[in-house]
Amino acid sequence: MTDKQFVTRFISASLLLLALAGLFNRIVDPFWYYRDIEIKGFNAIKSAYGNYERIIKPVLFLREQPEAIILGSSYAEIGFDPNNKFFTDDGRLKGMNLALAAAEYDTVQCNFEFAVTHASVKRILIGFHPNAMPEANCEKFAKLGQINIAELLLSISSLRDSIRTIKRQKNGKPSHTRDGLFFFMRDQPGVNIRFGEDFERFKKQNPHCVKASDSPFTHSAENSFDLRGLRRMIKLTRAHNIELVIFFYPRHAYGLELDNQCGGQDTYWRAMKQVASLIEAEAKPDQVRAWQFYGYNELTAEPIGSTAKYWQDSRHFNFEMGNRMLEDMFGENTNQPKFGRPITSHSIEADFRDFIRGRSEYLQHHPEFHANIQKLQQICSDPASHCKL
Amino acid sequence: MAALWLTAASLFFYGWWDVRFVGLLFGSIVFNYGAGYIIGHKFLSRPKLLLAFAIVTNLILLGYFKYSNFFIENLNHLAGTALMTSEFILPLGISFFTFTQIAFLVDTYQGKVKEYNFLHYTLFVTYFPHLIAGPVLHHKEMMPQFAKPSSYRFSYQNVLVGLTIFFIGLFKKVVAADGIAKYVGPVFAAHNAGLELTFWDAWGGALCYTLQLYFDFSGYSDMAIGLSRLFGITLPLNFHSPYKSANIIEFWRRWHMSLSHFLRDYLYIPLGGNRKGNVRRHLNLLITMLLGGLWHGAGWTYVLWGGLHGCYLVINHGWQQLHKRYWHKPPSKAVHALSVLTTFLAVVVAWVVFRADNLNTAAAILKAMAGMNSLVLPDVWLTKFGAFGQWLSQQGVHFGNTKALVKSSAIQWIIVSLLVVWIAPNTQQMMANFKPALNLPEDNSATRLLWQPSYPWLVASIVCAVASILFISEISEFIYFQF
Repeated sequence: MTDKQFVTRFISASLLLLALAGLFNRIVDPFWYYRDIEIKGFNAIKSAYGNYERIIKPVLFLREQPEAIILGSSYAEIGFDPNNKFFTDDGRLKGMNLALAAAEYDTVQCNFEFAVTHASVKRILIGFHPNAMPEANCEKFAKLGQINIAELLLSISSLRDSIRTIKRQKNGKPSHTRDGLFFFMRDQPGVNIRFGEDFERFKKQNPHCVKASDSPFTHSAENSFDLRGLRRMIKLTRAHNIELVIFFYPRHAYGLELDNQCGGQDTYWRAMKQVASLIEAEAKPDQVRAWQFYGYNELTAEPIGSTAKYWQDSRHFNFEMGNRMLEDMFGENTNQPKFGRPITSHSIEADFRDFIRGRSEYLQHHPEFHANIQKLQQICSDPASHCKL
Repeated sequence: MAALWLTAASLFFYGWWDVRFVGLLFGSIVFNYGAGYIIGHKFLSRPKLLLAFAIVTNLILLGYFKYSNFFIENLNHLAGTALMTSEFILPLGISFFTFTQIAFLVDTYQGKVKEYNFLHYTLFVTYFPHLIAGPVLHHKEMMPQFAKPSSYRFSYQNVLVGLTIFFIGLFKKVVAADGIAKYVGPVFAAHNAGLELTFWDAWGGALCYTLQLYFDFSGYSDMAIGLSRLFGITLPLNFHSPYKSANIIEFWRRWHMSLSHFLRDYLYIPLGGNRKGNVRRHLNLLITMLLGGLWHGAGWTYVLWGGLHGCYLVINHGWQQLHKRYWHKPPSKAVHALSVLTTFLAVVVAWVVFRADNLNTAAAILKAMAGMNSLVLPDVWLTKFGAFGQWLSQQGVHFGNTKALVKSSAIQWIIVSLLVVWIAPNTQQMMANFKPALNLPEDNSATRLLWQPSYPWLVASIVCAVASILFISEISEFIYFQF
């Protein structure tokens, strides 16, 4: 082979292979970015999407320009169907679940800022833990919504995930809906084991306070939380004329009991009261609302076996429960909620008293309650168990 | 015209990074060229003064950007002062273009410089393939090539050789070096995070870093040579399978060769070299290596790394003297292999100091490597070894969690990389038919895997190029273990 032949063949074959790789990735679309070629049994199930959703979801958001979005961590991503009729006003608003698994507080706040400044969003539902909400530094999220086409089509990750996508069509299940709802462990047995894992982890993190017994609920004096991040969000909500609904993640009643033993309830209720006061002081009337769903009822205290209707583990709830929450928050009778409570600074003390009373009543009718918790706690306490800790 | 175009391209390349520093680079070139011209043409009665002034000016410039914060921090620490450090951006390649030009000035003074074409000089300093990571170019090797019109003539062979070497280098960088790099960070960050490293994790991290650095530097050196060859210019060899060295002296003849030559010619020999007795020779070696360490970065870890290599070299020279006196036989294959292994381990230990954020981190990793944090075997081995594992456990060997190393593919990386490093011929040996670099050792040609424009090599080259390009744009995955 002459030098000229070698150079010509080398360059042309390399370019051809790269073009083929790009075309292959374009067709398979492992990151679910293009969404135009979906062939059942070939590439319809996007098994790699979850690992790249932090990059892809914001880009899709820009392209789709939804009007009603859900933000938060995996609890919100798993728990809310963005096409829910109450959330979308019977389909009049285009919905999208923009929540991200494992999103920290700052990610959520910065995603909010990204969303309000990059689309004409009308409604935002956002989940938080009742705690401090400081102002996040969003500089590190500056590249949100940007994607390099070379990375999508000409990267080893796209090639690897294209091959995986094809391989996993036979036995795979979709991880997300097109609109961003995450299925996670939905319909997978072993809910009781996952509760056991959560409780064992909780016990290891809080060895000083877990007694697995009935303890009185406390609600101590005020001290203030840093809520500058929320203040900033309210300001942006006013500026962009958006309806913002904040909700605090519900917890299964078994988990609430454990939290309480470590003083968790005290923190929750104090933080919620301060959030309510800030909203009342800074937001336009009814433009920003906050909700909580703590309680002892057939949903939050659902008995846990290997399967459960409303829960995947002690914190991740299914969208069936999310639907009930959305009905309360966005339905026709928001003044008479069936499940949760809107948070106001005037009513929160009464709500807390109701919560305590509800608990007592529930425990009277369910004497097996603490025994059930203990049973779940024991699942993973044996080192020989196959729990993932 | 071609030289002008290459010079403009090199300056554009430099300005692409940060246009503000083009002026600094160009100013430095004009200053040094002017000083060299005056010295070389004997316009002054005492050119030594101008030489000293020019060298000091270069060192002040380098010191200002690279070492002033280091100096202030140490002064604050020692004298209790509270002088403010400044946020500097280190001009790209400042160490390289400073050293290159100091060598030019010294050679001018010594009457070794024959050519004073300003355009060729500018190209010699700014030539973009070498500007980021070397090699440290020498004017006598480069300026004649720039002056020769035939260098710029298009040649398919240059393109063929250049592309092949470039993509081999790129493959080493993006596939091997970046692939192994992910195992390094957690081990070197462990101490600062309050974690105690196990014996295996510490060795795993140290070996991975040793190999990462190898492929990184080897890859960059190949890319520079390949890129330059595309333009018809042959760069000097800078990296020649250093981990195959049987002693530290040989290591420094194979690792960053152009820097070693610079330090030898412009520091060690002017200090007296080996001409003033053994004690002075060893002292000169130590000084040279300490300053060589400091050249790599403004930090005590670099100084210590240089000092450590200085000590290695002193010991090595002493050992060679003993060897000459008492043994006359060449070493057997087994002894040679042992020497390679010993040299490699010494280099690994020194790289730990080089990579660590501070001396405490280095000490913590070295302590773990010495087995002082108890020798814990990976818990998965207990079941894997079966009865032998049980027996080891009964003998008091601990099995436990060795997360960083065993739960990853680091071991496979280390084994495969070491085989490549120790057994495979290097790029220049494979490309020996095409004189890929200057200063190649004699009998450099690979006995196997000798590259030629044939179909098998065409396929291999295409695979290497396509894989490298695909690995460049890696999209970062977010894998969540817990929410």
